[in-house]
Amino acid sequence: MVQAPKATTVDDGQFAATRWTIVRAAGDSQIASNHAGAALSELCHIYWRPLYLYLRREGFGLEDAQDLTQGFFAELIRDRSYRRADRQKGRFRSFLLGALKHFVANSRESAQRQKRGGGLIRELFDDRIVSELEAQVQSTQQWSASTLFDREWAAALLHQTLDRLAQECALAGKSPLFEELRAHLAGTNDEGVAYDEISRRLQRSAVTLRSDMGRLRTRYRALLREEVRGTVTELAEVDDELRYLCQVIAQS
Amino acid sequence: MSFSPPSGVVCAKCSARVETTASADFGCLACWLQAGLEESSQVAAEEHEQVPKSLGSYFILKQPDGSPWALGRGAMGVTYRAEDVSLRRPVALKLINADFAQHGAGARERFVREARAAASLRHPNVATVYQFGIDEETGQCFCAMELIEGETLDERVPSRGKSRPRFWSRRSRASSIAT
Ligand SMILES: [Zn+2]
Repeated sequence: MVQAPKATTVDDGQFAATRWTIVRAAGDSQIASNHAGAALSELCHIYWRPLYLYLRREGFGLEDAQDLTQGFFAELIRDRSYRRADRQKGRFRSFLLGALKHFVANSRESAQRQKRGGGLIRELFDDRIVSELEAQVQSTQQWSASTLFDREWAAALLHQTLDRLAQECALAGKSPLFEELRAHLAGTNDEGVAYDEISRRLQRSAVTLRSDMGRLRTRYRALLREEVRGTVTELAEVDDELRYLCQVIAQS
Repeated sequence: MSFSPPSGVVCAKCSARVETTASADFGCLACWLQAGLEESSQVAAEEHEQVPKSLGSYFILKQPDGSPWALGRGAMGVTYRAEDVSLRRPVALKLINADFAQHGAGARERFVREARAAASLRHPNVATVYQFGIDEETGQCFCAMELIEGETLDERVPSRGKSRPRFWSRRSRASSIAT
């Protein structure tokens, strides 16, 4: 039995088995490996865009960048290279970029840059996504490849968080409410929130809306921290990772 | 950094550059991230203001610093230490994050049904569910449970065979679906 938390704060410890820690903890047992593979594959589906954009900014062409991205993930998951001790250190973000650089260097040397994704990530690159990403490559030329990578990482993190929140709201039958309040969830006060207008549109009292806002903001923050927690090894690193990403964005 | 300034606008709040791209079309990334670091008193205070002082005969107790005494948080809501002032006994009061009141009697019936099902589950470390209710004014659903010290409340599942939970509503409107 677990002791009741005395404090009023959220006990982040409950998210101890995060995706990245599962990947790192995987030993030789087959079940643990399968589990780790699934966790890694989930992470890759959330965070492939930063890697692709990194490669584009580094000068790889469309086709090459796509092949390298999917080849990289395929090898990462198949060869379980993430289990090598020297690769297990640090945060998932740094690990992934480091592993990609390593993979690209090896692919260059052996001139083995053939298509080898085998459909794993292939479906991600449909025409719409590719042109969307191209527009992004063009409009963000002021950023270096690693800045673009970090910014894109932050965007993927926030997308994932907001998607989860949207899903939770949809389950509770609150999608219209979420859509109205979404833009203000990062805020800490009610400045600029048109409660009266929203109240008319949703037929919901402004008093209730204010309390909805409070709950959604709290939930957003919790989900964001949970997502970050999934990419670091220690609970204490969540703040550092958030601060790091904030800093990159503030300075870019 | 040494790159030429981007074409984007500057965030009025944190003065980071806001670049709208396909994958970042929701405003200032720095502000969205910063929110995850806000354990700030302001946000906490806002949250606290939204916790009602009481629901029915249950008064939510406060910590020495004046904040509501939360015992645990789960997907469905936050559980507070409270007191049943009519029976003078401590309770664990769970405020449920669902908005049944806004979705008519059908949704409320579902809530009551689910709550009853929960109350009939068997579990070794049981807590008695005393009462379920909805505040008709705010639509806040709650569940009052036996307070057992030294446990994570969310691990507790209500038991079979204890007193049947009552259903409370601030106005009598909901009472017809209670029995
Ligand atoms: Zn900002």
